[in-house]
Amino acid sequence: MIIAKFIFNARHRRAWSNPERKIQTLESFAQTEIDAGESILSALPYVDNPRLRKHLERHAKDELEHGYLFSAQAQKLRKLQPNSSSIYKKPDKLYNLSRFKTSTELNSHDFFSGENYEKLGEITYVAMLNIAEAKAEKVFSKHHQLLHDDPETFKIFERILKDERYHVSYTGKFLTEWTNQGKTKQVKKALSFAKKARLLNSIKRKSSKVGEKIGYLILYILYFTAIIPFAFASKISRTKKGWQYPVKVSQDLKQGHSQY
Amino acid sequence: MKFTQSTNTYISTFLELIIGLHKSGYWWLIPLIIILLPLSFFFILAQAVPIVAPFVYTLF
Amino acid sequence: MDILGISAFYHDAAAALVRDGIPLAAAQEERFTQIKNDPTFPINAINFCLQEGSVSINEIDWIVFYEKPLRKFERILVTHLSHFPRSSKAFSRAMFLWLGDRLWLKNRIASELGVAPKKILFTEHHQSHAASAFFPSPFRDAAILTVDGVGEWATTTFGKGSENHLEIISELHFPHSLGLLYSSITAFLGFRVNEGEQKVMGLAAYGKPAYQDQIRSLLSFSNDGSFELDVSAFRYPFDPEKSFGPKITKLLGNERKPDNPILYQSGNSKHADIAASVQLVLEECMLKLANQLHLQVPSKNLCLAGGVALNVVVNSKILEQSPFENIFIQPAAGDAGGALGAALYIYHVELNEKKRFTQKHAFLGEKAEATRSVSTRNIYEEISDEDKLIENVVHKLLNQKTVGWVQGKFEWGPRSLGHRSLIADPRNVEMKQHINQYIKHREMFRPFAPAITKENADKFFDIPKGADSAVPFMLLSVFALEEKIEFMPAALHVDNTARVQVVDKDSDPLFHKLISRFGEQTGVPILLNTSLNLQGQPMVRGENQATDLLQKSQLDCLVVENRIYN
Repeated sequence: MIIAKFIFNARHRRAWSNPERKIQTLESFAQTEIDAGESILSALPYVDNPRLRKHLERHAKDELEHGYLFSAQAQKLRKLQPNSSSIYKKPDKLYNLSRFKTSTELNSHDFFSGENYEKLGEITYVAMLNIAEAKAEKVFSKHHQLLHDDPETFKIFERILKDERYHVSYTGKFLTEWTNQGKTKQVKKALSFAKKARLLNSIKRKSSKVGEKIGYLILYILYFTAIIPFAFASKISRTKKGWQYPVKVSQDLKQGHSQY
Repeated sequence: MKFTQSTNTYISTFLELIIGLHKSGYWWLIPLIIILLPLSFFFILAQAVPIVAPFVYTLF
Repeated sequence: MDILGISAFYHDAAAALVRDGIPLAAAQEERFTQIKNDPTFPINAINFCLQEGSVSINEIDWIVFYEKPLRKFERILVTHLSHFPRSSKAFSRAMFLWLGDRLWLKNRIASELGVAPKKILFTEHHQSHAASAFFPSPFRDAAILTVDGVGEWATTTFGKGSENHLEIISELHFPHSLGLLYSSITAFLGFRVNEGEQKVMGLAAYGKPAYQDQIRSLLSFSNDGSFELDVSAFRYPFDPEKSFGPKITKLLGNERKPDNPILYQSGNSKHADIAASVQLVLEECMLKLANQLHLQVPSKNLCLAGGVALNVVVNSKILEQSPFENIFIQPAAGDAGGALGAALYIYHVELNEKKRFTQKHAFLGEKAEATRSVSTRNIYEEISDEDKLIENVVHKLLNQKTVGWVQGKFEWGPRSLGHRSLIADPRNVEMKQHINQYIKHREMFRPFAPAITKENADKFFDIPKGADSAVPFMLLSVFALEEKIEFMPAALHVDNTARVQVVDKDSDPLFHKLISRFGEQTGVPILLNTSLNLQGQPMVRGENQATDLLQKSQLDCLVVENRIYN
């Protein structure tokens, strides 16, 4: 258990291991917070419940403030290292949120947007926020504990943790309220979806990777078996050298429809 | 896109490929395409990443 | 008639919206995702184009993809088979990708965009390039030369354009590719392919072509202008990771690893010499091709596109030494330009519509304010009077400050042309080192470019005749006049050439005004102009990314529209 805890904490410790990495981590955190804040802000026009809207507005402003705090601290540390090359070095894979930007389906920065609020509905949206903030609180606590030697950054995390606790609290209160209003099933379903989504997502991601590896293996085997006669045929067929003259085709939409 | 429309498009693409290979003189590749086609279904599934929101903070 | 052109999946995904033959909006996906050369399906660029055109996807008449996927698949399959058994890795990776996704592109586009498959069209890769060069040009007729790595099969094409008619006359096929030759040497010199070619071009000026015979030995020309590469020297047909083989190492010595120093100083300039050699050979090849093209299409006008057309030194050589008198080069000459070209091809050629547009500027992107974030805590000063704003910026430039200049819509193509630029005083030679070392964190040999007002261009540079359509887009390399070299050392390359941008008052009145005012104060109506981005990242998209850059670098100040951030 202790060993597992040590290994688990090691990756968080790495994030603060040297000044350059520290700057990268802070900037990565700043970006996440700012994106989350802007995302929640974009949901506000869709929220009918005025009390919820007020809390979400404060939540969004908190996230933006966290982003500012992280970013300002990163800037401060950067000034101490004017020749730092970290601005163009990619952060650790774990902390590099831009790796998800390669796929529009996995854009981690837009999840709390207005569009998704409309799609998921208020209960599921709040449940997702609740689970996310609870996890954030846990993770930030871990980082907080690792920063005793850096009082400034330690203080920033202290302030952020306070806000995260409020975020967990108000979202939890709304869920309790809806449960008391007889929407127990919906709340339970929403929380279950929120919890499973994390796990499911992780399983689906991993199985996608496994599928890729299996695919490569099948093709590799095929290459050295069924492909051989076609490989010989290709070696016999002449490669085209010199000028080739495209076949004149009709220059109308019929040609445009063709994928060949 | 509806299921039938989608299936029709897959089929028409496949037929276009076969006809195109024949016209280009690579008719001998057609049996290979037929061998590879079933793998296509599996690879399409393997590459489909679900539209499930990631939990931002799990990254940390 | 609204046509949406799309390019994606190889590198530089982009989208372009053309309305009745006139481009309304065009942008590369990398600007939105801030991932350099982002090749993924350009959903953000598409959404931007639709928004800019105030049109929904269902109202678009045609959606055009810039190449024929099935023919590309044919080339990949045949090539991998013919290199059995060395191509096992390449085969498995490629087939997984194609069988699982790329082959079914029509389905993918239809489902991603929610449109009927019958609305989706395809043009050939080099047709898209050719159209992107000819239809925006000011010419009624022209010869068209497109040269790149590879499209479906073609690597090099000759074409002719006349009114709304465009035809590819002849083409050379893979693996015989000048683009891939240059890219292989780029990789040999330790730079990233699709990014490093510009660096090799810049490095070449520091060296002598001591290896020209070795590089020339890698290809042979026929009397009809066609060429062949010695394919045994290259691995790119079958190796997804390494493009050059042991033969090249034998000819040129050991390759440079990315982390090793670049040798370009006098006394030890091996890498610069190799760069100079491949640059010379490329120039010779392109000139031969241009001369041959002129024999077949004896027009006064030449249109150039394809990735190789981003080599400004080659472009200049062609204009100066070939029989062509006028030249136009698509600003987004690489694959991103294919999105625009595909849309224009369908409109003019397949729908038989007349040419009605000449590209005078490249400002087709998103406005600076679009990414203005509520989260910014940066303090700025707002100056509503334009003259006062210009005065303020000129004052900063005169005080040797580096200024981020962000105005209006961002540029289409890889060059910053005064809308997402980092500007500085070109008279101060120290500025070169300062910007390279402390702001852009890039190699010291990388040059900067000058932006000069149109009225003064001939007074400072030797601009060849027929270059009018190319110089607004920084697509030619010209010599500075000898008596003027001392006035702009920071904006010139080591051989006193420059990739000059000539700024027209009508195309960009504000930037023109800024340069003019600077000129009134100094007698030098030129600004050092380089792209506003951090190393390894695309140019900033808008206000948000620019303020981020200001925080992260040693940029002195930032001007976004009429707001000055310090």
